[in-house]
Amino acid sequence: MKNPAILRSRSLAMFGTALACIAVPLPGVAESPVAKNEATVIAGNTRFTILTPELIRIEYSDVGVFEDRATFTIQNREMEDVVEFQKTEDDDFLYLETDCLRLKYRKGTNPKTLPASSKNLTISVKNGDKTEVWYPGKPDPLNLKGTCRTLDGSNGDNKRVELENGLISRSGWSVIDDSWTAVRPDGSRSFALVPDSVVGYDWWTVRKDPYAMDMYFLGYGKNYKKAISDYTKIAGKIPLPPAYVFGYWYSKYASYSAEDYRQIMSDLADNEIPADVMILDMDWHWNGDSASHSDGIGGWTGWSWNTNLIPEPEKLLSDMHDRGFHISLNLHPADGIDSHESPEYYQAMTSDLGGRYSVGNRIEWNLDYPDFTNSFFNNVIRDHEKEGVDFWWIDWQQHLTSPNTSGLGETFWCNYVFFNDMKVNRPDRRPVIFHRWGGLGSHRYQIGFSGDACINFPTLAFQPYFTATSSNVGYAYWGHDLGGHVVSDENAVNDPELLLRWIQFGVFTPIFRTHASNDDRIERRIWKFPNFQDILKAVRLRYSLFPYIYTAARETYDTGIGMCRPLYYEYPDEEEAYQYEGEYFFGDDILVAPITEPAVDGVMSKKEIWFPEGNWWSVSADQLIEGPCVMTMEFAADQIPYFYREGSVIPLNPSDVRSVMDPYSAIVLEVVAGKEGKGRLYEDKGDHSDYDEIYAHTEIVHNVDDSTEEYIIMPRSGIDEDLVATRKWTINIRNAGSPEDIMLNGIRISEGSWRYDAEKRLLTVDIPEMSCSEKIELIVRYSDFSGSVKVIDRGSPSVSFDVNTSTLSADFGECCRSVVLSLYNPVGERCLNRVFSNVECIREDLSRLAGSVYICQLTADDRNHITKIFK
Amino acid sequence: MKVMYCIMALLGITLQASAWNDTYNSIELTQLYIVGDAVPKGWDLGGAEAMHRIYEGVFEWTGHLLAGKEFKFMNTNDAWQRHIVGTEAGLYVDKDEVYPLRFHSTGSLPEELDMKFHVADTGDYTVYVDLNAMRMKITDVEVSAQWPDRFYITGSAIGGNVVEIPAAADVEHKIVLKLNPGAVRIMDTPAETPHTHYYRPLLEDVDIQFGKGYYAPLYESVGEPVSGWNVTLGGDYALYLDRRSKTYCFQRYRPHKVLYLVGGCCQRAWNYWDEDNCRFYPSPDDPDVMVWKGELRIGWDKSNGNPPEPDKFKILTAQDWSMDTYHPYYADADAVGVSCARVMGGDDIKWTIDQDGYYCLELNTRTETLTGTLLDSYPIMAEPVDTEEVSSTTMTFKGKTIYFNYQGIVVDDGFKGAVIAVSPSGCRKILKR
Repeated sequence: MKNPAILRSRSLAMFGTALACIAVPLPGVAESPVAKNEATVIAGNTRFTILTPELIRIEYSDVGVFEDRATFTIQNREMEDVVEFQKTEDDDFLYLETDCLRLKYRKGTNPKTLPASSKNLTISVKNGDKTEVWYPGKPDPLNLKGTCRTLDGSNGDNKRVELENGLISRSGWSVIDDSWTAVRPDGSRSFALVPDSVVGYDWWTVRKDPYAMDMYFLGYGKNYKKAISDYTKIAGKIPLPPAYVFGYWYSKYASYSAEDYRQIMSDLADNEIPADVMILDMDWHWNGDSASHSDGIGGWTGWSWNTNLIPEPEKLLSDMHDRGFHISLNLHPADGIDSHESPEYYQAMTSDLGGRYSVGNRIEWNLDYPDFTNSFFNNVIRDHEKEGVDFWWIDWQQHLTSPNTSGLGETFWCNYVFFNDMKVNRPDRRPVIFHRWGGLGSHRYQIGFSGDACINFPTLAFQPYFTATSSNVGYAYWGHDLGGHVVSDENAVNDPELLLRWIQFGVFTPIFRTHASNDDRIERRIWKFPNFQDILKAVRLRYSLFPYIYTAARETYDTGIGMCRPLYYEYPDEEEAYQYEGEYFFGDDILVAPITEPAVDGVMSKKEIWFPEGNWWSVSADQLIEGPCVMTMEFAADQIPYFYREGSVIPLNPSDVRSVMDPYSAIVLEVVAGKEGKGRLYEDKGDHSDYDEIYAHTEIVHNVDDSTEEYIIMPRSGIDEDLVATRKWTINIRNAGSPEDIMLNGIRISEGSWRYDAEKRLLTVDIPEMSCSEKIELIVRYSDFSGSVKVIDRGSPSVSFDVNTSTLSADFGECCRSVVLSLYNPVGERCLNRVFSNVECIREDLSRLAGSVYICQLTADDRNHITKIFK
Repeated sequence: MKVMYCIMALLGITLQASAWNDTYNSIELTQLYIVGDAVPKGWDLGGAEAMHRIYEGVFEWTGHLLAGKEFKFMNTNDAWQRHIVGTEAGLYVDKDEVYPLRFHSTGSLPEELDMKFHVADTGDYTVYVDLNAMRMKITDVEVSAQWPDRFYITGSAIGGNVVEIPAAADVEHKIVLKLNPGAVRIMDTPAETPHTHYYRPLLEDVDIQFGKGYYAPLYESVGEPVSGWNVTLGGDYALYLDRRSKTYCFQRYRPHKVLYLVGGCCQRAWNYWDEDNCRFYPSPDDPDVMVWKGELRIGWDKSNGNPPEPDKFKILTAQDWSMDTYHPYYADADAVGVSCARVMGGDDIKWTIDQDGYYCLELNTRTETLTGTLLDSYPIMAEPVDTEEVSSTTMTFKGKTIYFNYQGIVVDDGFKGAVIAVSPSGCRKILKR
């Protein structure tokens, strides 16, 4: 028998030599993918790189070849500070110890055994009070998950099983397997990147040793935010999108003509609906469909305007720009460039490429290669950009990996190329694309198009969890088809309540875009719905929230933490933070629990909400809620369950703002009295690429001293070129007691400059236009204690039982903090026990109970009420 | 571009550019097959044995390998398309050595790349493949062959105590235990001795929630306490040891909020959508107990012809056939009385009724026992009428049907004539003969 070990070593050594000759690292790749020498420890064929006290890279190569270039996942390994660590060894083991981790490696071995075991490598990490031990290949069933490629086909929570592992886990550790062999769920792999002079940015190449192990161990315990933040230090920042993407996107897949688009813009204006982005779905190009007057030209892929529908595209795009819209066109690139659909582009590219990649009358899609890419962008994309296209909606729906390059993911690579092309070739503006998740590293190509979800409440119910959980991989900008995309239930197609609740959820997501498929049954013109006023209220709320949202987006860029965040980021020790997955934080200070079920009685929607430790201001109820607690609350159609953290300072636009690109000439600060806090207002020009340096921010400090509170707007700092110089402020102080004395910059202000609504506990102070470089100090002395709740009227509740609907109703006249409903059958057995919190009335469906007489006991706060009902 | 093609060739990556399936040239981590004349199923790809997936990309297969014969792996059994082979021609693999693998996506793999494995000695082996790292290894078969009559669990997660995992009939051992963060191990003696046998998972110290919903083999060690399962999150856990397959399954235990009754004796037969008829509700007194009360009739729903299995039912945990389902231990177990139930493992067997009537079914999901009670074996003489007639009647009954005459006076069981029958499941007008 041959000695397999010797043969194996020899063949791989030859293989490694060959690769080393071909793929020499070139200078200037990515940020700084080469770690500092002091951060690395080499032990034979294994290399460890200490990136942070909690983060260690582990490489093993049979041929001792390590990767020092950027990869699809990792861009930077040169951390600002080299982490202090202890290195010791004995005859058998090497030990590395940081403040957070202890690594033990059996020298001379492959760290990963088969099957996985702790034999050759372990890392110990503290997870709360417990020390967890990891070894390569150890499964982690407690991973908190990340995201998946798309919500195409999403129905209910059927996509839950597709969520990929995230960067954080209740196990206290997680792993990024960046080995080339570690296949991503779409079948793609993480290649290396090298400079390419043809396209002007880095291009994919094979790894130095494609069969080497290349893992990153993250041992952050429950410090979830730090794990994700540190990840963006090595994997690249989440770019700040241009400001306009945070406005309302009008979108619908339909064969719209130019006149249709103009009509839509007029309707939006006439109905006073603010909007900032206009999407042209695939029928902008020849699609081969007679219904689109395409006359058999083109198909799913197309690059040339359907001039039967849009005879003067430049004129249309110009009109859109004039009305303040930014424009995106949908692309399905997979079928390449067809000579019949796009003869001019076909000719130009054929000339560029000398006929390469041509098959018949088509140039096949070959984004794998720089020459194709260069020609395609120079001829097709540049041309449309000159016409007025602002950014691209890439809608890849075909083969997930390249037919030409094994493991090159089409989704990731399209993201990468389109984003980097914009970065290099349109430096005057901020690069942005709209596409799907293509695996780790996709956060650098920021906006996600979540795809074709079913139109029904259960599918909506999955999206709050899905959106917030995506922050676990830094994918912070999912944009959903608000309202749903495809019909799954005839009754739900244009259900006004469903659309309203979906849009209300959308207000508290990164991207605010309605959309649906080209199904004539589906209406997405929101002004056509009977509850349009409620929908409009939500759209306007989105525009009011813009300063808070844009500030949060800047924070996402600076810290890597998405604006939609699972509750466990802030409360990792609380089990409820994991259980109440339909709730999330929107930015630092807003807790959201979107309504995702229809109203039981067609009027009020119930929602069971967990409130973490602290006090929370219910915006819909004008009430302070004391956490931790679980409450069942009721919301009317126009109400959204969102809550300000006590002490928070939230910058808003005035309610009449019509574009997110409008300068901040007036700002409304929402402040919740009762506790100290702070806020920030971020500003920039909105669409410049050098936002890393050119920006400004204004800090707002909220101090509390017994019955006196201070609200200090600090002078704006940073570079404020092209920003407004002066600004009006309105400060809405929620949960405010009755003001006794109000001083603005040391001067007592008269009652005409402020208003107090005792019922809502709202104090509003108007501050006249002042320089943004000036400090503003507002001091309010209250005559009563802030933070109290409404006084409860002590009357008897009104209790009724509707035989027809088997519904028990009780109305308490005032809000009750705690209500316990118990039903007893005639032999004294308790048949039902329900607890409600913070309700004025309750409704309970008793249809599951057998027909009988029941004793109904209601305990509302300290009131006890007993009645008898017959069923 | 030639350079790239050269590199790809060096990597052993072959492509067939004409195919345009979604991931046709990508490796999949969910499935793997072992083929070759060294394995029992030979080169029959369609009938090839699927290797057991331990977790994403890692597979195990235990079986008989013939000396001198060839074997390799296929990533699909649909077509000879995605091959996983070695890096050396004619390679004989030694036990416990790790060998690199290569992936080729092509319908016609050249002979020089089709590098198959061999063993020198015929025998039973366990083969491991890690597609994440592209490695394989063969070992001696290690899975425990003999199971003791009794199992015990101990460890820091239960404060160092020892608890027996009771046997349920001859089918399985099961228990729901509250575990704290820590570790547990399973053994065959009530106290640890040098002769204690330990039963451990394949992957040491793996979290107890790993493999939720899947049965995995147990491995046996003697003497020194082994590293069993890690418990990261405290809480109630259901532990199952299946005697028939000699496998285990652990998962977090949480009481159900709903269950669904389906079967040929149900009003909507196997349709789980009609919640009015098939939904269980939690008992107000015990969250572990789910209760269904209602009528069952043999072969009731004939809207689509005679329903299959007309006298049988089972219990779903969700309105989805792919989710967990409660079954009895033995086929056709009597629904009346107390019977063991199992949600994990086992065949698609059902409970049976032998007469129409009103039933109360109480499933204790903690103890996994079904208590069935026949509340009323009425003669079906008349269709139900509205219940409003008796909606204001005050009744005192406990699990028993009470009959009222039309004057609202309670009559005894022997009464003949038209009456209103009131049971916990509702009121109806019937004719007693």
